[in-house]
Amino acid sequence: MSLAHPANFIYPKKHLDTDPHYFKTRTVGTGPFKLKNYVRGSYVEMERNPDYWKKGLPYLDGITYFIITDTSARTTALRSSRVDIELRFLPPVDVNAIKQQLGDKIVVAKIQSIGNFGVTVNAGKKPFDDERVRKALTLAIDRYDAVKTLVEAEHKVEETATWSQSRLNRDFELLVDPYGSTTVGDPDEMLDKFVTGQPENWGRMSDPVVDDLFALQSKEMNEAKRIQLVKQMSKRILEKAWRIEGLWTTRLEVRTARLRNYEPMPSHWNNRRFEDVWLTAK
Amino acid sequence: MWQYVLKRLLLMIPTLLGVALVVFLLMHVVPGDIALLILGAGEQGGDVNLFELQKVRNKLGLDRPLYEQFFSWVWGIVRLDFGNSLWTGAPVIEELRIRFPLTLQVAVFATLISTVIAIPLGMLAAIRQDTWVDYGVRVISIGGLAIPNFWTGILLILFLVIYFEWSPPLVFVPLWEDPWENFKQLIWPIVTVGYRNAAVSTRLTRSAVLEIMREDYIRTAWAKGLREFIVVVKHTLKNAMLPVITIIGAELAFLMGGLVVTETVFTLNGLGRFIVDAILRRDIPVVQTMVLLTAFIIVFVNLIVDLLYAWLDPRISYGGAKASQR
Repeated sequence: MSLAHPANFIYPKKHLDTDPHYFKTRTVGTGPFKLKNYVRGSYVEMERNPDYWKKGLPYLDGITYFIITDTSARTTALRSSRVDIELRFLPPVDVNAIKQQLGDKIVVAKIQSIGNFGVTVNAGKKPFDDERVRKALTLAIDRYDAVKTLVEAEHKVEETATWSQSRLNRDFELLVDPYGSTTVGDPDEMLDKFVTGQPENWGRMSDPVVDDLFALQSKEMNEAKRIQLVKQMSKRILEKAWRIEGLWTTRLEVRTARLRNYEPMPSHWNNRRFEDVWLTAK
Repeated sequence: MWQYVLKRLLLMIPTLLGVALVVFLLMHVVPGDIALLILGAGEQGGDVNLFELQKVRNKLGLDRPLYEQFFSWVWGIVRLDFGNSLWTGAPVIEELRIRFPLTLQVAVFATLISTVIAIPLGMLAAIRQDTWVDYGVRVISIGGLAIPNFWTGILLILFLVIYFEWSPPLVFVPLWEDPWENFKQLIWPIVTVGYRNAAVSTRLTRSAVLEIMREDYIRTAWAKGLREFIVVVKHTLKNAMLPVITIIGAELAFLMGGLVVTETVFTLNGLGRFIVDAILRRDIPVVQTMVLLTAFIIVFVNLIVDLLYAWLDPRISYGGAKASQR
């Protein structure tokens, strides 16, 4: 599965041996677009690959990805048509503002995303090793309020060095821990954080029933049976309150109506080849 | 005079070394490890095994003794080699080259605009003290102080986008390549930042001019029957400029790395955001170089301000011979 994962790329050994950062500035691949220019912190410019293995594709001459960290700046870029699509998500307030201004010149996709804004409990620390404490916590939380707060907290802590170090050292009691937003959404990828000893099992939970169910579903070839096993596993995790699950998120993805043949996906990592996407005239 | 400048320049070296040492130690005291982030532990999920972690640390040279890391870095600086960013792997100097022109342009132009606005306004408010001119200037300048400049920026952007469906370009083009495109992008942050800085210097100019106007030699000047213009500009303003110049210099130095929020609001790829990101990622060579650069700019701007003092106030002199004559 590692090889088939869309976020994993294969590079010639000789490039990586001479420069371990090779892949950060240069690309080797067979995709519809080639890397033309990358200005760190500002934008990534791609141009059409004329030798693409699907004849006649892609339709677009090129794509420029702008790196805009501020949500309102992303909204502004859409409202002033500096960009054609916003690829992560925007808050409903901003989406409404865009809608009000641009009307049917834009399309808003409301996508059921696979992301859960919840809290991981450190089962290795007192009093959270006690099932009753964890259950009390999940019952005490107002999830609608919690999600609003956690989404904010997550945006502040994500990718800071201190946060990831204390997470790795299990130096926490409760951890704002969004999960999901995986590339393929396979249970193997999503649920390994609940399995004993897995690197992403930040809360050090260990439940033999969960471990067994995970191993069983991973081997199961029959889809219906596998879904059954995954459901059982999820039920067990919720019953034992191994994690304070939050709400599952919805992603609002705004794009110009000029963009055609584009299909939004649950994960914002996916469907980014843009090989058969095209733009109508202005 | 030149001897003085040389002495000041040489004194920069221990100052910068001290700054370097403090930053270096601070970066090693705070918790956090860039090797973890490189291995993806900072993003959602990510497997980290200790062997890999050790390998990355070794590759980055983070497992060497601290004194060795420090001295090899200082030795690099001496040879003008600022090292590579641990995060991107690119030379720090390369990263700076992308962002420095933008930040420098915003800082210099904002300072120019604010000075051009502040000095006449502050002077006018002082010589027309307690009239409607004074009140007007004070309202504008207190406004500039009270409103955070990123908020002015947000309002400005909203105004442009709501009424004109237009926003500044997203990509920085250097002034010499395409002045018009450059103007369209940078004029807004320059005005926003310039307004705030103008507010500071306007108030300072006003109070400094007011103070000087009460001096005996100004009364003498009036008594001699000099015209108002001569009294105000030649006798008052020049003498009132010392604190104003100090503040303008300090603000200019601050702008060279302190515009984090403004850069975020205007989608500018400048030094402010660069240094904050580097700190969050514990990208030590970048943080060290940036702090060193900032320290250098501050020391350098201070030197220029001190030299301006001598020009503005003949009582201040840096020449050894001249001083002993008095």
